[in-house]
Amino acid sequence: MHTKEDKVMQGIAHIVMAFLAICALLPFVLLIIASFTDNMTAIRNGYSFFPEQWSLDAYDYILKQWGVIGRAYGVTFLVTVSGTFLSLVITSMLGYALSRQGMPGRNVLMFFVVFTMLFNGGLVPTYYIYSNIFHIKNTIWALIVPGLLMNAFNVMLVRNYFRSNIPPALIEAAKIDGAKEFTVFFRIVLPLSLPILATIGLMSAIAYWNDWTNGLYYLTNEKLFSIQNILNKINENVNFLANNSSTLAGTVDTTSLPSGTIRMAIAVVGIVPILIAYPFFQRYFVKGITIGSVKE
Amino acid sequence: MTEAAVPQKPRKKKSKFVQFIPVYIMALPGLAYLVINNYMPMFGIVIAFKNLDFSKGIFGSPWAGLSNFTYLFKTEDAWIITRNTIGYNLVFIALGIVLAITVAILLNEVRNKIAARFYQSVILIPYLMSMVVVSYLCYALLSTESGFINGTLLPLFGMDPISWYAEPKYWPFILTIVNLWKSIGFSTVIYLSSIVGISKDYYEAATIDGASKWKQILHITLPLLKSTIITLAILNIGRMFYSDFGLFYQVPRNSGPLFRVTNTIDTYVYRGLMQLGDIAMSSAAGVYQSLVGFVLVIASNGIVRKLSREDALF
Amino acid sequence: MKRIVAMLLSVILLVTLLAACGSDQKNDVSTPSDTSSNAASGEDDGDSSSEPAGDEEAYNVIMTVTTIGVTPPDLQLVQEEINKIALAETNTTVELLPIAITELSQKYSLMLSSGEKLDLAMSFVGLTPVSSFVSKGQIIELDDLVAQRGQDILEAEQIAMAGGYYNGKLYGVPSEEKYGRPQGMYLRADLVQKYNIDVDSIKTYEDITAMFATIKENEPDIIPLSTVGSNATTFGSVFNPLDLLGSTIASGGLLNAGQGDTAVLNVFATPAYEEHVTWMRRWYEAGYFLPDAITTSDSSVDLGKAGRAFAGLGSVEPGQVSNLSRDWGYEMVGLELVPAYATTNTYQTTMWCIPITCENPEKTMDFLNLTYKDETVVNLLSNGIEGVHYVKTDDPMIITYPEGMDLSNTGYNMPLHTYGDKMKKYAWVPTDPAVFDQLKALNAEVAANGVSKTLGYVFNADSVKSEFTAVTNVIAEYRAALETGSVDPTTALPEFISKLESAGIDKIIEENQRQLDAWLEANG
Repeated sequence: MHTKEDKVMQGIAHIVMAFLAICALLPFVLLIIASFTDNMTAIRNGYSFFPEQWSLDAYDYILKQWGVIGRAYGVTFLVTVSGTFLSLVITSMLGYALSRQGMPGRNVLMFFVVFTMLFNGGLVPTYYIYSNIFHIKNTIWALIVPGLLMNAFNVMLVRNYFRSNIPPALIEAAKIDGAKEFTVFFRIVLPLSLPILATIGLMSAIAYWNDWTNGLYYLTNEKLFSIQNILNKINENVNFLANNSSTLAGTVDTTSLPSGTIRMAIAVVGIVPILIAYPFFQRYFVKGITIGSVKE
Repeated sequence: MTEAAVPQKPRKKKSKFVQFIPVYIMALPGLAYLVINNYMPMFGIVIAFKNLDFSKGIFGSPWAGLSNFTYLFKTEDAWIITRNTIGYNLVFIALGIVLAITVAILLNEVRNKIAARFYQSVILIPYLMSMVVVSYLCYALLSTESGFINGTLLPLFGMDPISWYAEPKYWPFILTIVNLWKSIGFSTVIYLSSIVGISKDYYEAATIDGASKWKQILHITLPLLKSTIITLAILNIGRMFYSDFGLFYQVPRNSGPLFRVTNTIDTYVYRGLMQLGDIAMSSAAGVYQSLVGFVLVIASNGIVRKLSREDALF
Repeated sequence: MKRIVAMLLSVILLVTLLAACGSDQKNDVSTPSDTSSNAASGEDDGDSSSEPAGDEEAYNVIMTVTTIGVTPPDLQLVQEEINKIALAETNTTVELLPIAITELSQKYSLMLSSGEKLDLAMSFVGLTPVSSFVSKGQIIELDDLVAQRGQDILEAEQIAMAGGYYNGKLYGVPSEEKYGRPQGMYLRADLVQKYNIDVDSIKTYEDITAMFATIKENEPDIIPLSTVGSNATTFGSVFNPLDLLGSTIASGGLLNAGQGDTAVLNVFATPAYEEHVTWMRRWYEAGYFLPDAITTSDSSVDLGKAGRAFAGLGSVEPGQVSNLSRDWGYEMVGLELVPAYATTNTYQTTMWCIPITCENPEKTMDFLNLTYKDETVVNLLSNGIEGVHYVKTDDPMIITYPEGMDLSNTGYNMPLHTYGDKMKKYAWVPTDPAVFDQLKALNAEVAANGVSKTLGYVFNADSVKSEFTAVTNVIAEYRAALETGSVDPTTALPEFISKLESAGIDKIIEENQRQLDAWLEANG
């Protein structure tokens, strides 16, 4: 009886997931193909899965113009790894603290944290504080700290996970055995929370990888630019110029503007490396670890 | 084992506060970060109430009362942009929750580990693409002349080409689909991580008791997700007056004829202030959006408290 | 636990190492090699003496250089060359600060709000107009500075100086070598020849329609008109020159480039506008526009390069047509529809302003003046270093790439030409050397006959900001679609006008008229 139901369930699951996977993959494949399309063909016929003419020109342009790409990748990689790690540490600690039942002042702290998701002072004062008080301009910290090191949303997710998936009895049992809070946290709670840590870690890594605004605001030293700083600058700027060519006529030499297919190649170059991070995080999506016998 | 038989020595009741000191210490780095990153800059909110004069600085600038806010209300478009922002958000939240949970549950059911990992990675790919690039890809689909739909798909069904970027009626659907496409991977993974953490014991016990898969989902999985769902719902409600700028500006290619259904508060502010470059006015828009979000979060949290106290945020 | 701590420590170690690397190069990209200017970053006794030589430290001028996102690799080399001259002539040095065009507004706000030193900031029409700088109190008045230390500026710019005024004071220094531009179309010469089109006889909508019809009939793959973009406009310069009174069309305008009646009008409600958009609709329906004109991601130049377009709208002054030929990759011929004219807007495209965080406006003005005075400096900024990035041809004003170099491997490509006296800027092959004299003649003609009555007047929108925002949004919704014929004007135009009225355009126009009348009286 169950095997039939199982099979049906498997069938449904595979069909739905395969459909979604195709929906997600197809545009990405189109993006890659577009980046290998000859630009003139693209203008004449639009982007297609089967372009009339292929070309490596777009990638050629990227390689030629930016020898700095290698360095930018290095910077981004370092920032992503260290930022994600630091972020995981402080987010999970705060999430744990907020999940501990019975902690006095917990509601106040919750409000304190959630409030930051609702009100924001804005870019100008944030910049002022980081530049003039903490002097992070043109340092690597400018790419790691502002905005990305921790956010209330992730804290809520972690807290939620701890509350739903870690039985309080477990913690109590540990404490009765004489464990300190830190030990409970590191030895018991964290190992049981690999899925949520992997989730937050992945989200954090993507956020760091994709961020270009921190570099825009706080860096003038091009040696510290992340890969997105370099790539996005071109995309956004060319998009703007194409839309406003009438206003700017006469001041812009348009032969030097990267064409559509180059913008596609830029996008591919920015996305592909982070995809490599996915399998790394997925290892931790381990199903139902047996918690052991804890009777209520 | 043998220790359990020994009665606990009666202890002096430590103050709860002292008892939790290690916990406070753990919370410290995170809280300190929030102070630096979020609370210290909050003085900037006053910019919305001032006539910002850089030569006098933020605090020396003259007060403007509420005059920086009037532009958000004094126009015919005010109703349209508010309706659009809220309307889309309600749909996005509702559909998002339902679909993400469904997909997460289905994904969890997939036995083949390799397939599962593949699906999980692939549905996250759209999340990585910037909206500018997504707008180019949409254009490849929807372009009147050379788009895939008009050029290949519709002729297959013998239908005439449609001028997609000139017809507002299709766009609520188009934008919803694009938004779901881009965000479903993300939301699914969040719910999935919770589902994965549910102890197998519960399911095994239920199977032994003869419960069907569907019953198991209904009575084990969903209730255990309740807390996550509520938390995410409340947080999303707080963003009710915000919109994804890329989605509503880039994807419709900034096409005027579509404004009726694509103009949101954020795009309105951006377009309207380009020439004026008025920082105080755009700051006022931010304060307005935050204030509404704040009220909504308090209200929805209050409702949750009444119904299911432990799930409330605070 | 130990494992985690170990990982933590190693990451922190790595990060600290990189931070050390990062802060060693705390200086900006353009680190001046002159030792004197290194010390002078921001330190000067702020005196008002104008003696260039002497024992004073050289003042370091931080000047923005607007890019399209890519910083030229040789920017520092160019900077060093400039500094040799700047130091000798004006006892200043310059530090070039590259900023991408879409980041200008943000960067300015951030830098100025934190008190960071910035001496010369570029104002860009539509993105960072002078009016927005002034209403935020971000820049200083330049009247006295230019009068006392900007002789070469005044000589080079003359009537173009009118673009830099706001609230009756001078705030920006324009960089215009053309006092006005004739407007019209540029056409593919090969197709013009093929179909025996008599370019000189084309004057009216009907003439153009006939020409497009010929092309469309015989070349089905070619789009006659290449105008595209979500902010595309076809009314306001080429067909009906408008005087926008130093502001945007949201605050109304004058027809006939301001040379006629000075009653401020809601341009969109005029009969001329209605006639124009009706024609545009006919053209759209006949297939003369790209069907997705307002939503395509390709630019008008992209279409031209791909051989998909026949004509484009724009200015057709001497030298421009050869620029366009170079852009499109096809030989182009120009067709003038409107003779050159000048309004305040003509001179507002790009201007140099001095922000409030400048520490020595006098020396800064000296440097700015140098860029108008010295031919070498102008060309260093716009074209690069002679012998390295370009070489002269037989004509001293025409240049080309050195052997083996082209656009893809040059170390200095500056697409935005906004520096100094552009009359002194060398032009690239294949520009015709006669261009320079032709431009001088054109300038004289415009100065004599083509100037608007309102030159020098700029509308101040501070008292009608709400209406201005609302109207701007309405315009964004309708204008491009109407002016490319993408929507039916019989329904859309009345809708547009009524929306404008409920958004408050009449209030703005009233205010504009009031200010204009007062200005005309004072400056009559």
